[in-house]
Amino acid sequence: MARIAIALLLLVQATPARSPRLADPYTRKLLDEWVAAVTNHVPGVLDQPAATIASWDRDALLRVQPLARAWVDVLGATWRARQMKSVPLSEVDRAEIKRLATAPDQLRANDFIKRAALLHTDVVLLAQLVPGAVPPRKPRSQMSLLEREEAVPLVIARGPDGRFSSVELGNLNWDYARDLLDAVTPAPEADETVALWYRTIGAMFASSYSFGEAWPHIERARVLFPNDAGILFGDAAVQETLASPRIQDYVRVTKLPNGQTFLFVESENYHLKVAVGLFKRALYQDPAHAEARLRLGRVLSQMGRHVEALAELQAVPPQQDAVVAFYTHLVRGDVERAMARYDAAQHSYQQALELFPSAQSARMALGHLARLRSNRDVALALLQPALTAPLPRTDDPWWDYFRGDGRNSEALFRRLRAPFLVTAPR
Amino acid sequence: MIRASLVLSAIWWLAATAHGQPTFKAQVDGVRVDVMVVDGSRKPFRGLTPGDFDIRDNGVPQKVDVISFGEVPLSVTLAFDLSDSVAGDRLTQLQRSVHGLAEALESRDESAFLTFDSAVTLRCPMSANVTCVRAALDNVKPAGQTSLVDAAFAGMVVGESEVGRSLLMMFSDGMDTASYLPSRLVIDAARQSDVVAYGVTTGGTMPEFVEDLANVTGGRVLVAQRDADLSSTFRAVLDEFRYRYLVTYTPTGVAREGWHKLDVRVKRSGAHVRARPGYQGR
Repeated sequence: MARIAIALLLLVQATPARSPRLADPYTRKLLDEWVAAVTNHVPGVLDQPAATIASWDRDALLRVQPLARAWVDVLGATWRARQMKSVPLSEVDRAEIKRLATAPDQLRANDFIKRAALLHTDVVLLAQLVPGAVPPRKPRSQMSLLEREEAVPLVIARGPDGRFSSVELGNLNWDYARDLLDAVTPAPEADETVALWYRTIGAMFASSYSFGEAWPHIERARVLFPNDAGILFGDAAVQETLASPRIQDYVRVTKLPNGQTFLFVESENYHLKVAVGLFKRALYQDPAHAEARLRLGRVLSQMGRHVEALAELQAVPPQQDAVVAFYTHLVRGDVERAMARYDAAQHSYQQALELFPSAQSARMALGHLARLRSNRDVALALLQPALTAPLPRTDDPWWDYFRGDGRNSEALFRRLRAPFLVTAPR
Repeated sequence: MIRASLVLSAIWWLAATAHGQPTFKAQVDGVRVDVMVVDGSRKPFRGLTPGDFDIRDNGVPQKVDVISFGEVPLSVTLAFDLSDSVAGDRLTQLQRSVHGLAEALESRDESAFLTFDSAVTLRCPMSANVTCVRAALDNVKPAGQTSLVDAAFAGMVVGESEVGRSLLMMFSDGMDTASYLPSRLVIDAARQSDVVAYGVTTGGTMPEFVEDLANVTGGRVLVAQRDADLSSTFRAVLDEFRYRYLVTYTPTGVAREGWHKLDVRVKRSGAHVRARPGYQGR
C-alpha cells in the first residue's frame, strides 16, 4: 500500500522573488520550455512537457515564476496587469514578454492560463508516480541565492501510523497554478473552470490529508468563491477532520524540530464550530446536499447537540449513494446511543451493516452497544465476522470518512480535464 | 461489570477438579480486583493473606473473602500493531517476541491473537493451544493505518474470561489514525471489564489512550528502548501479570450501581500496590 503522508502546515514569511533577466540564456531557455509545455501538455498525462517541468529544481521554478506571471498578465490584461510593477521585472524583460506573449501563434488568454494551471497540477500529481521524475531536495549549501531567499512554505509530513515523519518544502507548483488562475478574465471568481479547479484540488488535498498544502488553497478559495456549495462543503469537511482525534492527538503530542509550531490547527471546539458554520452555508446554497447535512449532524453530535444532530440526520434525503447512506445510518446510531435510545441505535447500525455487511466500523458500533447492554457474548458474536473476514479488507467506507470531499476527487478531476481533452493542444 | 461470582466458581472448580471431585458453581454478588504488589526492587511480594489487604469501596472498608496468587490460569490476548511502521527489523523482533511468549504460557493458560492496521484481525481465537499464536506473525506484511482504539475494544471483548485472569497486552509504535470507536467510549467499557491492559511501545510517545487504558484497568505501559528489547519487555509483562494477586470481596455498605472508587492497600512495609482505581457497578 502506498504511504499516505498527512501534512500540516508551517509557513515562513514571504519575500519577493528577485528579478530574473531574460538576457540570461538559461532563464530564457527555461521560459521557452515552460511556454512550450503549457501549449503541448495533455491534461492528466505524464507526457514529455509535464516531465520537463517536473524535472526543474526550485531554482528553475523560481526563475520562471515572475516571467510566467507577467506572461499571463499581458495575455489577460487583467487588473493585475495594471499593477505589473509589483512583478519584479526590468522594463526590457517586460517588453520582451509582451512581444512573445502576444505573438499570433500563441493560445488565447484563458485557454493558456487554464492549461498552465493544469500543467502545474499534473506536474505535482503525476510526477509523484514516477520515481526520479522530481529532482531531490538540495542541501542548503548547494542552493542558489534565489532559493535561499525564497519564501518557503513548510509542511509537516506524517506517516500513516500517525508519527512525525519530516519537515518538507511546500510544492511551488501549487503557487504557480493559483497565481496563474488569478489572471483569468474577466474575473477568476466568475469562471466555472477556476471554481472547479479549486474544488477539485481541495478534494485532492483532503484525500491525501495534505492539510499543510491545503491551507493557502482554502484561504484563496474562500475569497474567490464564498458562496460555492461544493467549495464550502470541502472546506467544512477539512474543518471536521482537523477536529478529529487523529489530528488533535497528533498535534498535542508531536514535538517539532527547531522549536517550530503548527499553524492553522486550533482546538477541537474551534474547528467544530467553523465546520458547523460552513456546512450550514453550503446547505443554504444547496439544501439538497445530503452529505453536507449528514456531516452537519455528525459535527453537532460531536458538540453534544444531539437533538439538533438527530433532526439534521432525519432530514437527509433518501438516496442512491450507498456510502452517504451508510454514513448517515452510522452517525444516526451514534447519536441515538448517546441519547440512550439503544433499540433505535441498534436499528440504525444494522441498517448501515446491511449496506456494507463486512464493514468493521458498523460491527464495532454494534459490538460496543451490546457490551454497553452487558452482553459480552453478543458483542463477540457481532464483532467476529469483521475480525475474521479474509484479508485484505477494503470494504469499510468509514476508513475514507475523514477524506471528506476527497471521495469525489477522481470524478472531479475527470470533469476538470474533460474540456481540455476535447480541444487538443497544438 | 466485575463478576466475582464467576471467579469464585473458577477457583473452586480448579480446587475441586484437582481432587477429582464434582464441580459446582457458586453465585456470589462480589467484586474481584487484580492487584500488583511488588517490593522495592519490583519483585512480586509473596505470601500475603486476605488479612494483609485493606480494600475500601467508595471509602467503605471491605472484608476480603479470597485471594489467589499465581494460581488462576491466564487468558492472554495479544493485540499487535501491524501498520506500515512495523515493517523491517521491528517485525522480526515482534515475531521473536511472540515465539517467546508462546513458550512462557503454561498449559492451563489460554491465549488469543489480534493484529491491527486499518482493520482489526483476530488471527487466533482464545484457546489453550499456542500453535496458532506461535505462527501468527510468520507470514504477515505490515501496511496501512492504525486502528488502535478499535483493537483495544475488540481485545477486551475477546479476552474477557469467565475462568481465567484476563490480560490484554497491546503493542503499538504509533497513534490511532483509523478507529471508529471514540477512545472515551472504550475507556468507559474498560472500567466495566475485568481485563487488565498493559501497553508496550518502542520509544517515542505512547498514545495517551494506551496510558489511560492501562491506568483504568490497573495495568502499566512499558517502553522497549530498542526493538531488540521487545522480547524481554513482553516477557516481563507476562511474568509481572502472572504474579499478581486476585482479591475478591463482597461489597457491603455501598450502593450497587454507579462508579465505585477503589482504594487498595497492603499492610506490609515496603509493599508497592497497583490496582484499578475503581469499577462501574450495575
